[in-house]
Amino acid sequence: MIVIDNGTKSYDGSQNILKDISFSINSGDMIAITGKSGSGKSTLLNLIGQLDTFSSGSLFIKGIDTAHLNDKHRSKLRNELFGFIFQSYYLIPNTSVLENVILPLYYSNKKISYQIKLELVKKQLKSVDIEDLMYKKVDLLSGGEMQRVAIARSLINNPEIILADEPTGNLDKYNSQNVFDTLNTLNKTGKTIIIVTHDDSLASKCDKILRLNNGNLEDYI
Amino acid sequence: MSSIKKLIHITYISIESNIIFLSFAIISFVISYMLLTNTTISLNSSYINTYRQVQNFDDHLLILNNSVTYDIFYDIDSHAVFDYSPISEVMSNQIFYIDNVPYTITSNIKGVSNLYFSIGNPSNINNTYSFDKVKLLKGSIWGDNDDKIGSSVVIIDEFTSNYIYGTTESIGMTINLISTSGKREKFFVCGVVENSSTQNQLIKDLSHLDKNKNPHDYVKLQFYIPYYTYEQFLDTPDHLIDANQILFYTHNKEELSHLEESLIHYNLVNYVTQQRIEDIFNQNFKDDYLETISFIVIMIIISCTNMINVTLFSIKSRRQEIGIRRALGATRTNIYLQFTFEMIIFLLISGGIGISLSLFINMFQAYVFNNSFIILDLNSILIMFISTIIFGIIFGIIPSYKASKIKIAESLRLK
Ligand SMILES: Nc1ncnc2c1ncn2[C@@H]1O[C@H](COP(=O)(O)OP(=O)(O)O)[C@@H](O)[C@H]1O
Ligand SMILES: [Mg+2]
Repeated sequence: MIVIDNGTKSYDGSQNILKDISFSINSGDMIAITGKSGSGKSTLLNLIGQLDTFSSGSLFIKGIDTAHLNDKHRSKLRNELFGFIFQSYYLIPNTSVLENVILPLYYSNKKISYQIKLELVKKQLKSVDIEDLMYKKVDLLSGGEMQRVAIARSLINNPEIILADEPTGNLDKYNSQNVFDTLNTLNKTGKTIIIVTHDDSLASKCDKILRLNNGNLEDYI
Repeated sequence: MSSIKKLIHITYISIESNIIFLSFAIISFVISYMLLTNTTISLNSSYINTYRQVQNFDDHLLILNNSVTYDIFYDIDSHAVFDYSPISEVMSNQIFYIDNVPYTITSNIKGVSNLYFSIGNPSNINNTYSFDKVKLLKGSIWGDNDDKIGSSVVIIDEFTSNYIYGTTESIGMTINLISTSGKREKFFVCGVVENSSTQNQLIKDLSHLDKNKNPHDYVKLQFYIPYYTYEQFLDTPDHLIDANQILFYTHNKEELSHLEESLIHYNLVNYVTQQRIEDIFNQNFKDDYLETISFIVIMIIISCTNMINVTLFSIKSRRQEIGIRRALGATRTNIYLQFTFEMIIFLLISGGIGISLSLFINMFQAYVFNNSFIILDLNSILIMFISTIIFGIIFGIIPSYKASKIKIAESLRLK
């Protein structure tokens, strides 16, 4: 599903942050990306998720070379194929849970009525057990609730691939477990999950582990 | 339509974080709106007043300042009867006798029904377009019926009344007017009007003159008689010599051009038509209006330049939000449009507050200084509304473009 060939990334032509990386991810995989802080995990995840582009090398998504995609195509991939979950949740401040979760539907080209959008949001919030928070301002939520809003938002367009950058990094044990279980369940329903984490016990529960060391692909088991 | 709906849904306006921008915008809106309404309203009212002065025949006679001799007023209410008497004949050098003193009509135009005209000595004639409102002091103006049957009624001014009768209490008195062909008619005074400013000036001048000189050489005795009366009473003239100013009204374009043709035919070069009065006023109106608008445009441009700065600043603080939106699937165009739209909405909000505020200020000053209250001027609001949208689009270009160019991965690294 995702194939990276000699992928290299550098900012402004300075030293390479990712060096000649090649690997592939199959549909339905649950992969952990691990490595020390600053080893390039987030950079790699962003590259996969079309938030950034490789300096050289190629990235194929479902057989399509992403190098020459225009902004519209990339945006469509981010909107429909990928769902993003971040360590610091990245909810839009001063807005409600509903407004956050519904947002990807507005950026999608699917023509659906507001009523249906609302139903989709409700359904998604229910799946992460926070349907009663729908009209609450996100700023008032706890960390665990915020991350669940973020998960609901990442799932609203029914993406095939979930990209999670240290999703449990800011959460307590209980909530971390909860988030991981949710991702695990999603993987069981056929979604491809890529988690960046430096929690080894979490990583060990994944099908595969991709270890980065200073921009090099150390191993991929 | 659906894209506007979408814009509304993705709009993210936080008043708290834009309070400086908001107050700045409000202030410029207050100033612009007040300027705009004040100009509009003062221009409107001066226009309407002049218009009224010219049109209102109810209890006023109107004469052209400094050219009392050839005033012809066509009553707008009776233009329907115009066609029964086309302009074809012009009087000239008719001599009238009042108590055996001869007076001359130098020229006069005939053919307009329901007409008021004056007879006098054509001295001191200037071509000006200002109007005097002449107040009826005593009696009344003849009615439509007098016009139709040709009643022998006359309206005179204060000076004439005093000159002839030694008093302004002259209603019901008679004046004999005699035409050159010897026709003699007794006219009843039905009204006395205020002196025109010209007349007053002449009276003032007169006091310095040689007492032995005949005052008729200097002063105009003015008589206003109904047109039909005039038509029946006077004889056909030979030709027209130069009339100085003629003011007439008609709402019928055809009549107007017909009249204009006649005037040109008789070499009447200086005449004022309603159309021309309107043109002159419209021109003045436009000039003033343009002046104000260009001033406002400059003000808005200055404030918008500041707005760009503020918006750029706000975009810097919103980089992460932009990154999140992009990660969720927003295209560059989505971001661009969102920021432009937000700018417009923001301007409209501050415009709304600004306009309300200026109305409030107006009410307040009207209350304190007992001035006339400036009402809600829909025209100005419309202008503000449209220009706000246009400015929002123009001045949103740079900030919105910057916002759309923000790199996603980098903006998401920001804390
Ligand atoms: N936009 C950027 N400009 C310059 N350097 C960057 C940028 N983004 C990341 N880096 C650098 O790339 C390296 C890897 O970063 P990152 O992928 O965030 O590491 P990790 O997520 O593994 O902690 C770091 O040294 C970081 O400083
Ligand atoms: Mg990281």
